[in-house]
Amino acid sequence: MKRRTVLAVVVAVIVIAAAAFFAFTTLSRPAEPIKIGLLTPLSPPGDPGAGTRIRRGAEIAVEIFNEQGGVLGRKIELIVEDDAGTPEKGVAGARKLITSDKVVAIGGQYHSSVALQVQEVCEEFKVICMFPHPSAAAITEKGRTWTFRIHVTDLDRSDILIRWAKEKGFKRVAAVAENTDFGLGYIKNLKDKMKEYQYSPEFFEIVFDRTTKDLTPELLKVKDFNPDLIINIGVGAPTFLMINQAAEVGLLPKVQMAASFDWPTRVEFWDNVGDKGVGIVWVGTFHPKISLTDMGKKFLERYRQKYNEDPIYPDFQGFGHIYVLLQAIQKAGSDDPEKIRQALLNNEFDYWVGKVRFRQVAGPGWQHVTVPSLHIAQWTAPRQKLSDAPILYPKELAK
Amino acid sequence: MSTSPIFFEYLFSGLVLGLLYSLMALGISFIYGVMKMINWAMGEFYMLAGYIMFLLTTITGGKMLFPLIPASLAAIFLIGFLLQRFVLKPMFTTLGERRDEFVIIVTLSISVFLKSLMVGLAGPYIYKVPDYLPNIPFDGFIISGNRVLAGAAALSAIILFFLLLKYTWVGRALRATAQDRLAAQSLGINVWNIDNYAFAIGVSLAGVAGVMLAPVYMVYPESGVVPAVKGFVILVMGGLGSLTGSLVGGIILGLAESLGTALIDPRYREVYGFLLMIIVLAVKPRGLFGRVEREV
Repeated sequence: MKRRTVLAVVVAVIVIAAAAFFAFTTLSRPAEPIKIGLLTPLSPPGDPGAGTRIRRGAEIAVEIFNEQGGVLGRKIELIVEDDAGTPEKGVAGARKLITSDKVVAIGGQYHSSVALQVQEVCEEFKVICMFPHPSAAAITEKGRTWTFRIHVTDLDRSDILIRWAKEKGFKRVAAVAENTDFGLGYIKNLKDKMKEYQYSPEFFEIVFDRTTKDLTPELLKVKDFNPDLIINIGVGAPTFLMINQAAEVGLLPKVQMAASFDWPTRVEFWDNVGDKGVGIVWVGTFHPKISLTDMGKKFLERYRQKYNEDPIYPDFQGFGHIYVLLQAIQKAGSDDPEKIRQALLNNEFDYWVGKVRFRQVAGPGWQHVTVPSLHIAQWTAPRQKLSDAPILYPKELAK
Repeated sequence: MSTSPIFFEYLFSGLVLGLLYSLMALGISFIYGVMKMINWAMGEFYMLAGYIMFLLTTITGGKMLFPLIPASLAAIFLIGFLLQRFVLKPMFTTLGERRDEFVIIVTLSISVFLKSLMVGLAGPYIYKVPDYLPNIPFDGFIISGNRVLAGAAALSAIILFFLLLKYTWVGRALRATAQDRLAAQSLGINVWNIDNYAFAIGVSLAGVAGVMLAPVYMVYPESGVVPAVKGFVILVMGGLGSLTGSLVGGIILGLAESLGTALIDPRYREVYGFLLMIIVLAVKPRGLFGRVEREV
């Protein structure tokens, strides 16, 4: 009898201890953070300048939400991964974020060639890919379930560039593009838009390897064509190389050069090209003359405090796309990817400029929101402030 | 190719590029000739030289560019000297037969370390050294002042290098060590010191290319990768360990890339060099100037 009592007491103690341990480790544990992946180029051959800015913006979005207590009572954790601008590192990074870090969504993409592969990983694992910067039309044209994008497509940029070139009356147009989906896609779009707007200048296209260090042979070919407009379709170091080496072979400043997107607005632009940058025009998506929403103003203020400079488009986009994701998680009331996806499709979201709503329309517009206020602007003086750079096109913004 | 001045611009561009490729290949070949090891971190010394030049121009406000060129090269020489003395030499003196494997691992590690170091110190950004010379209009076409200077500096460095090998005591000792380490050692040459000089001189040749091309090709952590790859292509094409092969191979590759772009198709520029290498190896498996008994 005595032995049985001792045994019962021992069993009771073990059961109580196990229950206490379980309660201590589970019930008293703080809620797990909601993890968001940021897969972006932070080293060459990608464009680390852009990736760093996307990261800065994304970190501020997370900071603002966490200061307000996070989302669904849980903190947000941003897990950053470098894709180095290469599809293989992008795919490896996406797999690591999903399978090892257990993120509920991936943001931060910049290079179209990487995004085109990363979105397939998201599709495989049924996790949201929210893209703030890759612009190849094919990314959304594929109609993938888990891919969302807030940006402009190359088609939008080609559209405005060709309308402007037609209005200016350029007669010999040379397109110098890198050998990626972005570069080759851009050339195709330019040709399509020329047909659409019945604009038929003499057109010369040349493609270069994106790892190249010397564009002189290609630019001498362009010089032989004798253009009055050169469209610079590079990303990262080749964009600056093209300006410097075009000046070396005597193309600049005689010939107008147009940047295919807004890389001339980066702070390192003037350090890398010096006075050769005067006269360059670019297809822009952000200009200080454009009015910001309250959320955009909040970001601007925080960014200035933190980095002692004004943000540019990749910073705003880095912030905006993560902010939209976090709003979607809040509206979904869950961190379940399917519920977040439904929330993204069924709601309107605040953005740094205007409001955004995703729609499922066939073509490049599938789950894609075009950032408004596309324009063409120009540097007219060395080290000019962006606010002083005139908007050349469209006319309504130029006023 | 409608005008001949443009053809001369291609030719000039190819020649300058070729001379600079030659510098990379000479450096790799020279180190191999003396130390019997491949320095896989050669591209990173090219990159590091550009960063040092950029740092010095920033500190001095870009006001005195020309004295900074030898200063940057001296820094690269010193870094090479110290790395050989404290990182590579212990493998030569203690590892015996396993030396080759360790050398590969260590030089690859140095390559990764230097790239990561520069990302950490200077960020992943692109930097440009101010132009050394403005463009020069010449007989209907424009010549890049930076490239003229880079070509002249490359040529001077190559001539100086060969003079050093031929007429100085250190040069003779370097050649003797390259021909037969054991014999050189038995004749009283301190081959460990000679290795030190060989490594420092070899990486300084890459440094000349890095410093002179910093205003043209700009500086970033991966900027040495392509020149190093070209250097290895030339090394194989010219003949492993052959300095003449490195010099001639570099010029051939530079011209092939430039003229191939002009006369055939610019999309395949990177292919021309490899195609040339395959053709050379098919005809002369040891390379253009490769020999069974190699010498410096």
